[in-house]
Amino acid sequence: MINILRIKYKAVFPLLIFLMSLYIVEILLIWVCLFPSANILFLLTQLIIVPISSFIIVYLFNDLLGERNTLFLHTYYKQKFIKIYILNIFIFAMPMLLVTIILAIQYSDFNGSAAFFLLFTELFLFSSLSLLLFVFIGDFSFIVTVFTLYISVELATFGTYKNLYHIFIMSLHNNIDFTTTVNTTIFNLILGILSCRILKISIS
Amino acid sequence: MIQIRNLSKTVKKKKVLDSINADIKGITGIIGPNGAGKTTLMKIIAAVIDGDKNTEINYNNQRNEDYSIGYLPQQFDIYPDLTVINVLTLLARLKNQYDMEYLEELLSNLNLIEYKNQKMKTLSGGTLRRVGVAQALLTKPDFLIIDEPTAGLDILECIKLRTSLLNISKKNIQIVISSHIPEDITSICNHLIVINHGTKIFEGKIKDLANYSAGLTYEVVVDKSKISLLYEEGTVLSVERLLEEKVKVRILTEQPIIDPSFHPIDSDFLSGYIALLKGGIEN
Repeated sequence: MINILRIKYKAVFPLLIFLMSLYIVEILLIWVCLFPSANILFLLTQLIIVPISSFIIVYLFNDLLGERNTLFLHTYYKQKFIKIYILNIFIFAMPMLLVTIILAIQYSDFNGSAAFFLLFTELFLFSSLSLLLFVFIGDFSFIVTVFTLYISVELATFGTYKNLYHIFIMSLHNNIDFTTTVNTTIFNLILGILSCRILKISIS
Repeated sequence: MIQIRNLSKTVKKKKVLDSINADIKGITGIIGPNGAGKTTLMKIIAAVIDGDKNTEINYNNQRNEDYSIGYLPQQFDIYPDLTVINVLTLLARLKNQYDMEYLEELLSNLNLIEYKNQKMKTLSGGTLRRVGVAQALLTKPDFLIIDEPTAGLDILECIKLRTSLLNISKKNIQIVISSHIPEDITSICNHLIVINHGTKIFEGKIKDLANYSAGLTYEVVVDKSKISLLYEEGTVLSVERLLEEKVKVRILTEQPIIDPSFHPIDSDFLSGYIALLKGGIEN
């Protein structure tokens, strides 16, 4: 499976380099303790790193879902689609784990494990929903537009708009620990699993 | 052999294929005009899509898991930024059939060794089709289904591809190709199925198709300026330029012609095929 991913990553190499650069910049910002609280950096991770990682994961399936060879490539992907997808989630969550560890080292009031579980479920839900939409719409730019709009609304209203489900925790004042993240983490996980199940049915 | 029984396909309430029964054997060509339903039929044979409820397809009397099918679609333009070897490796791994030695053998048999590190987007149409054939052979298939193998290729690329397919057929792989180019069929196939408007209108040996135009194919020499008059007599099959403004025209008529300037000639695949499409009755 890793060998499959290694070749697929070659097709999105510039995007991976871009993501890696973002991580490097963020880790540098954490390391120099530019901000007095970890919350700003954590918010940046949620609103920039999570969506970009999700878009890359979704784009990895552009060959199957976004081009003219959908039916033909289905014969190749049949059993592997969900496995490849889940493996990607774990791989893309690895640098997030690193970021949360460094954040926890640099900021004593920051709970690294609570933050990582939240980021993981955000990545899982965000990419599952994007992929699900991609299966039905088949247009990658549409997916990017819809979710960029969602993030813009979330940012503009700072997560207070009641008619939207809030994937992210938009708080600059409350410390990131299990009491502040548990609800969102659990809901994200449940919705992510649901989306993933629908995805599995739609793709087969 | 692939036995097709009662194959139908309905798309948006329209019957694209209607109750096709056929036995696919040897190297089989499926020919028909554009929109006849060839691609849909190929996809169903290749198990890429399903036929309607009562469709039955039997592959060598084997159960599902005992045979393998290789399929090359009409459009094969995947992974433009990956190299040939990367694409084939990826597809082989997706099917759990990765074997580097076999891959090298495939590349060598299809004259692709020199292209293996080139990106897909830099390949010519013919090379891309041969990569497509390699892709279809990755699983060491019992059946190779190729949709429009030479569409958009130049003459040399067509010849190379046809030669490759003939070599493949020697390895006990049954090949099915669909095409609307007569040369693809006559140079490779030994069994023929003609479909039109979603129904099978002929199945048999290629030489049998010529019977449909027997006694109706003529050759006539006329002034170049008078060719247009011949269109009233029947279907012009070919025009050959001669000296002194004269042309030799092969023509397929609907009725036998008594005019002595029209010389009867042997009917062939092309005249038989056109007569069949025009609703000719086998003589």
